Amino acid sequence: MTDMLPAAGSCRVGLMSQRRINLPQQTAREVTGYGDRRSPPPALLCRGSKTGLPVWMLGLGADRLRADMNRLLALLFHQGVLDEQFLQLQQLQDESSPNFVSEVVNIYFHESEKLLRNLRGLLMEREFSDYKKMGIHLNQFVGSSSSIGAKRVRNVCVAFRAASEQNNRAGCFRALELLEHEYCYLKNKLHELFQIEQQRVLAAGIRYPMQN
Amino acid sequence: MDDHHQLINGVAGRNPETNKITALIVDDNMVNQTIHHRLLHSLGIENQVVGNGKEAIDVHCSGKIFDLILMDLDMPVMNGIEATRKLRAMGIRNTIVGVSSRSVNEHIQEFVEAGLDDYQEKPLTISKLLSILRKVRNQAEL
Repeated sequence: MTDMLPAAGSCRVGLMSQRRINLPQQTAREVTGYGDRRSPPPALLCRGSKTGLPVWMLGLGADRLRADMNRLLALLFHQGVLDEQFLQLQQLQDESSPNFVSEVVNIYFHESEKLLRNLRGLLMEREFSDYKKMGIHLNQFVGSSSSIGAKRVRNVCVAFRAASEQNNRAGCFRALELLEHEYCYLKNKLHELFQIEQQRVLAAGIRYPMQN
Repeated sequence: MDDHHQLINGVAGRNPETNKITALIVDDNMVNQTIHHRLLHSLGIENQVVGNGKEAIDVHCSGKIFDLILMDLDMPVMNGIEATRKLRAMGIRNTIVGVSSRSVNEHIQEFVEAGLDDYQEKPLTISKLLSILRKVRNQAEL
């Protein structure tokens, strides 16, 4: 399975908890200067203060970025990294809860990294024998992974749980290595997806700036 | 969505102040708590979240009643099997649905025998919830 995946990139469980996905705090108005009452230039001709590009060019990027997001999502579905449950999460996101998916995924990352540390800590114990505790952690991991649509991570957790139920320590070690690899890949890809989404929201805001 | 509203509005035993179905989510996993809460909310179902079976018992002892209880299996302090048995022993007859990532029959069988009305394997989806709500409605009509 790991041969089919590209390299996960640098990804250490201990550092991962420091990364958090946040939507941009600045509005399009703050970026472009449009709406400045002191000297409002025509919106379409002013240059974005951050990028130096004309506003109309930034606006066109929203479509390209949406296409990029769709391509990345299609890839992740094709690879089996995500399943339709991720689409269910997106359907639960609306104007009343515009950051729902990123909030849930952040919770998932935070909880998963605790579980991975716990699992590795258990297996590294010299006199390890508490497979029941390992099973409890893995049930959590299976449940949360399936709930966000993290299909490959879930499947590895299920195999890991089976090795744990057989008291197979070597099998558990192999499963943990694979789980950490799959989780890293998932996290990197979801970060990429949310970064594109942030850029798309910003670009769409520039295309349709708020009227005074 | 019209079918959804019809299903939800057709259930008796709703919150008399808000006229909404009420549900209790019993799950120790924060991801699942967040998603299930949002899922139920999106269907117009008032819901409360607790983190284990003992908290589910305590909230019922405080006098609260729910049309629907979504009960996880594996939880600390008190698991779903024990909590379901205790709730039934307390005389709670409302719909209790087991929701778990387990798929092995022997694990599920004990859970069902504890007093579940239904069991759904995670992840919970809108279509699974609608199936659950049909059971809630049927039970209310009996």
